[in-house]
Amino acid sequence: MSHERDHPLLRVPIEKLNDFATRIFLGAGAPADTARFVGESLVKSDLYGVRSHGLQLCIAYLARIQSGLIQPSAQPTIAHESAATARVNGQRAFGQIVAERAALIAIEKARQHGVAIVCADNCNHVGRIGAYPELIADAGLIGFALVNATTAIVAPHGGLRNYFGTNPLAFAVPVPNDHPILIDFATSSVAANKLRVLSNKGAKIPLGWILDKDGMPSDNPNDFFDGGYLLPMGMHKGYGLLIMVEVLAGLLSGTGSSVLAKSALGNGVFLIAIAPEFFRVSSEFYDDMRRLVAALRATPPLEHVDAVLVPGDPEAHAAADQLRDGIEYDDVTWQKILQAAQSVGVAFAVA
Amino acid sequence: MQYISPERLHDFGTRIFVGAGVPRAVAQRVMQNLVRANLYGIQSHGVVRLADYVHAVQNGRVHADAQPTILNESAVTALLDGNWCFGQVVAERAMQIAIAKAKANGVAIVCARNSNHVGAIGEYTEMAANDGLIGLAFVNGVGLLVAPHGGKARRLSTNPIAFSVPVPGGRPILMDFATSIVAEGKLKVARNKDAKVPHGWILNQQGEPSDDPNDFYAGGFLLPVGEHKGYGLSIMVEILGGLLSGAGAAMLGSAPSNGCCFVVIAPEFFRPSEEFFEDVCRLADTLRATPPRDGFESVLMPGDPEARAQAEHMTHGIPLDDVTWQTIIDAGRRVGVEYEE
Repeated sequence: MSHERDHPLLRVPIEKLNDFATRIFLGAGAPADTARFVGESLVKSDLYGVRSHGLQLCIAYLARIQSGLIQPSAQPTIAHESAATARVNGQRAFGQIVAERAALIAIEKARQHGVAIVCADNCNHVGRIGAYPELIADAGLIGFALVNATTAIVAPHGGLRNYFGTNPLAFAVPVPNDHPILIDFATSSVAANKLRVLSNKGAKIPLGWILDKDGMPSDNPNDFFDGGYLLPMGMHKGYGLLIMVEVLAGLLSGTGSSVLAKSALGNGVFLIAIAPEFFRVSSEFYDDMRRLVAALRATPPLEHVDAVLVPGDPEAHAAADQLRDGIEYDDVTWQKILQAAQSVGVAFAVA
Repeated sequence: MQYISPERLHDFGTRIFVGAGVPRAVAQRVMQNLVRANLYGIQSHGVVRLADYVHAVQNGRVHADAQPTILNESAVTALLDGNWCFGQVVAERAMQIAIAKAKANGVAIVCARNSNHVGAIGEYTEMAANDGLIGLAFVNGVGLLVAPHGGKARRLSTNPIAFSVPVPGGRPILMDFATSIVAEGKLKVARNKDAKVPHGWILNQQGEPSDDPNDFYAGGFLLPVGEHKGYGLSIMVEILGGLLSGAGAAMLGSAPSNGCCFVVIAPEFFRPSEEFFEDVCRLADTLRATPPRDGFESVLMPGDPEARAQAEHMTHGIPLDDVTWQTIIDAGRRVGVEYEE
């Protein structure tokens, strides 16, 4: 995992950050439980090293509260349900509150029936999508999540129009005495914020990530921001996944699609929870999980690679490191967060 | 190159299987899967496998008379024991159960173990779509071919994923792909033609990038699609297809079969289905109308290439190279069956 060393770094203990983040959302009018949940979820992304979904998102969230897109006191409701399915109406609450509620419903139904699918609409940005399968895995179940994103920046395979969001997919499974396997990635070739970082540095990117505004392959990240196109991961395969996410998270939830209209609100959510004991004696299943993870980690690594990881290891390593030494922020990001906090009358220094 | 009509190919293959002692209905079911793959242009999963299948019946690996049994089930789940009958029979039964349960309860997940090779998996999600439902399939493979991201040993198979959604008035959206960067069959084709492959497909035995397909067969590795992303997808397939079903995983030395996991969803449990399907139609129409980039005639939906191949092969016959055709003729002769012009 590479760290950006362009700016001075500071290290902040997680307890102080959780408190700070909670106070920011309290300052913005969220009820105490909501403020704590949303604040801590953003801090957790930073803890995991997923900076794009960290506390800096409070800047965007405060703006959305101001413009009325996020209703800080709202609570999701169940629009429709059956034994193993539900559709949640997010009521424009914080996306984190909506997706957590959807995951809790999925857990309860899957425990009873073996599998459950829960969709949500009227849902704001849910933050790090891996958080919800992780919640399901923490309950001893297999979790799967798809979220369609509304910012149309990804082109279909072979096409010249930015139609899709980066449409992430996440999957988590408990592993005994270990962190869960945690898969969480954008189905585009790369996340847009990573292009921004490389563009700021003047770095080149591999061919196959973007096209320039004329539809020609480019290794210059600026070409994306100058009217270019982001490509799906793995060409037609990622394109297929982008469509799958759009159909299940966007259309099945009733949220809508950035392909069809630019006006959809926030994230459409699609969650599956599966209870392994409906298929096998769960101790046997989890024993296999333990062996699978051990076999993968024992793979001889390539020349320049320290060790073969399983999905979730990078996050676990970042968390262990930052729990010990404090969570890392570059000065520029930190100043922006302080400013945003100030706009709702909150200072970092704890009196 | 031979061009064989799909009907004749289906009939010939069925007679060969029957000659090898396979019940006619089972033979027809298996041939439906193989001929469909050829029609769709997926040669690697077509009748090129017929001789191997016949051999598997003869050596007892396939129990052609067996039927899958249900080991356990709930309103929305089931686990099947394939009892080592043909994988196509197991997968079809698993999908039928998933469809019935999803129609009643909105969602279902059905897993299967002790299944022989199931063939091209898109056929099963397509079954769900043809019944007005959304289908997902995860099937783990038997052969160790793929290295984990950053690794230098084969741990995974090509572990495919499939997804289908009905499109009213058209063919379903059909996505069916290996989570490796390409199917192993493409390496075989390149090797047979003495062609190079693009960098990023394989590593040689030392773990260095290579464009020589022979390096793969000399102990090299196939790579996951999109690096860590495909690696993650492949693990997901290994868990859902292999471990949840109890089929096992090749890397654990316990997967002589295709472990299956099928998920079926009934849209009307979430939204009025006419609204949902109207949106799906608009999505497909909009994407197909995307201005294409240089080198592309038009933007396709997943399933369009298969539809085009099918139209072409229905008209002109299924193309089979001489080697493949001869192995089928030979397989027939061994059980006393001749091709009839």
